[in-house]
Amino acid sequence: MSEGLRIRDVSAGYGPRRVLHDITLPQLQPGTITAVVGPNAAGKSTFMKVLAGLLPSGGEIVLNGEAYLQRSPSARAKLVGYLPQSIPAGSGLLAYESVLGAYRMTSGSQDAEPVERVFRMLDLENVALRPVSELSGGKRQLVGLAQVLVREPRLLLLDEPTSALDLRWQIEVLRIVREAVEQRDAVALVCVHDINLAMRFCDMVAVLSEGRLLAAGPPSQAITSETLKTGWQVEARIENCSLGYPVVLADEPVRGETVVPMP
Amino acid sequence: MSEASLGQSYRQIYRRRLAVLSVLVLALGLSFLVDVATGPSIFPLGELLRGLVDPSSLDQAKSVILWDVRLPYAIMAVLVGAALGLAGAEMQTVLNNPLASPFTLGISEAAAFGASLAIVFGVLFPVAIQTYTVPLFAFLTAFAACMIILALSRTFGAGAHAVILFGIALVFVFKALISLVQFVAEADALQQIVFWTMGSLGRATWEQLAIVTCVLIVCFPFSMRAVWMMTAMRSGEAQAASLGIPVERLRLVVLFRVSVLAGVAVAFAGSIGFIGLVGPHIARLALGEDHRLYLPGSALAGALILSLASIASKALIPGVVIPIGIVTALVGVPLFMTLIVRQRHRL
Repeated sequence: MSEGLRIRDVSAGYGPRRVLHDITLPQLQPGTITAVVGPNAAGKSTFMKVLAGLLPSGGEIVLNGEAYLQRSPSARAKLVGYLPQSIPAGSGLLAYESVLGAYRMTSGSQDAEPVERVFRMLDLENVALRPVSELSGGKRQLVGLAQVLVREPRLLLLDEPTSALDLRWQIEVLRIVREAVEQRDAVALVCVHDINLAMRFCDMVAVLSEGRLLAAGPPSQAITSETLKTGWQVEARIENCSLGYPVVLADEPVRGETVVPMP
Repeated sequence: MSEASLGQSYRQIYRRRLAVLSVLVLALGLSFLVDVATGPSIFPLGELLRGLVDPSSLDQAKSVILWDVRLPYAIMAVLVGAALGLAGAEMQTVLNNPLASPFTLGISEAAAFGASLAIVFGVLFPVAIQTYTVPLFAFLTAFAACMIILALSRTFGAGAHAVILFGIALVFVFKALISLVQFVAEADALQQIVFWTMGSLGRATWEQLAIVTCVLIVCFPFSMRAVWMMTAMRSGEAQAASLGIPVERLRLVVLFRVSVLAGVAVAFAGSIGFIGLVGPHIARLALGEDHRLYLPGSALAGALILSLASIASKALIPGVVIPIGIVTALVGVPLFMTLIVRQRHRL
């Protein structure tokens, strides 16, 4: 039964250093995309790793009624698809092999059709038989996304999947992710830096700052001038574009207050 | 590209790579025969094949040369080359480092130290197990060196270049320890230790061949069982872990296997450099990084290089067999430097 994802009081860190503090989100519904946004070093990638089961955490994380992190890593891999922030540039695997490997590892199937389908979906057929090391950063990112999509997971965790993509493919990727979650009643969390992209194409937005949840909810409620001032330390306006969508217009850094240092 | 053609095109590439693998097998067979046939006296091919099938067809002297000298020597070259090639390939994958190999990270040197300890203190063990103490000690010290490399990499979050520097440091440490053992060794033991430091196949026996064969027969299927996990590791650790691969455990198991392979190779053939580095690179160029072909390809390439080096060690100075470690080092150093230049963007 699809109930979506419940996240309550999640805390985590690296050794003694606590990075995430009691994160609680509203229930994330099946078939939806939630953008995880925030300034640098807000804890977004750590949050994704926790949900992927790659980092131990406290709190409650439940997908469709099941505490899936209790599963064995291989059983969990059938449910959760995680795209890390960076894909190694040095892999000599062919793009096709890297996706085939991800598919075989989780499904055990010999069927090549899902692999071919995902290459078609992401318009990667022309580079499928080239080594990953020879691809541009954007294409590598799409190959990483293909490794996730081919597994048809119920929870998609994509850490900055659009950072190396041009404008068209930023939109295409979010469209493809939406199709994937809607078809399978899956839940997607996507880290993005572009707040306008998040507001335009995601159903929910969670704002993190210094490891704490600053706001969460529908884009127009979560992203406000106040959130932008507190989280990003910028004076900004939110106005509606000609199509009626909210757009953030940043004016200047907040003066006279402590600015969060860049890492 | 049409729907059907992508999978078909990949299968074509895979078949082509299988053909390359077959060529490697053929080249190794040919090199093996040449290695057996050449030496101070040359065996004509017909006589060689007859002698292999029916030893009684040769006269006593030739039979001894073929069965007690040439064959153990040539088979040891193939087995040690395969062990080092496989060990190097697995190390490069789990450490995500194109310059990793038992030789460059000090694992071979550590094994040589263990072997020299076993030689010097071998008298303390019962005679019945003395054949096994050398490989056992070589394995234990090689494994200890692997664990040191792993611990240092983890503690300092080291990148590829730092791991190589740790390896170089280990080489110096174990060289110093070998010198210390040599310093306290009796003359007889000292001579044996010098043999290890040069790398030579000259003392291969059928008993030793049986041990190396057993190690390869045990290790290789385990390596092949993990090919999909190892292939996934090439997409990065985070991606591999998200696929349910227990990355840390895999790395530990692989390094254990590498220690066994390198330990037994060094125990019987001494410190032979660069095979574990160059073998995997040849396999990568010819077969790609799908580990279904890359691992056997690395073992085959390692075996082929050492077999060719064995021929060269006999052919360079007529009538003299140069220790094979010297040949592999002379050929390997320029190749190693070429690899560093080619891989500099990854370091």
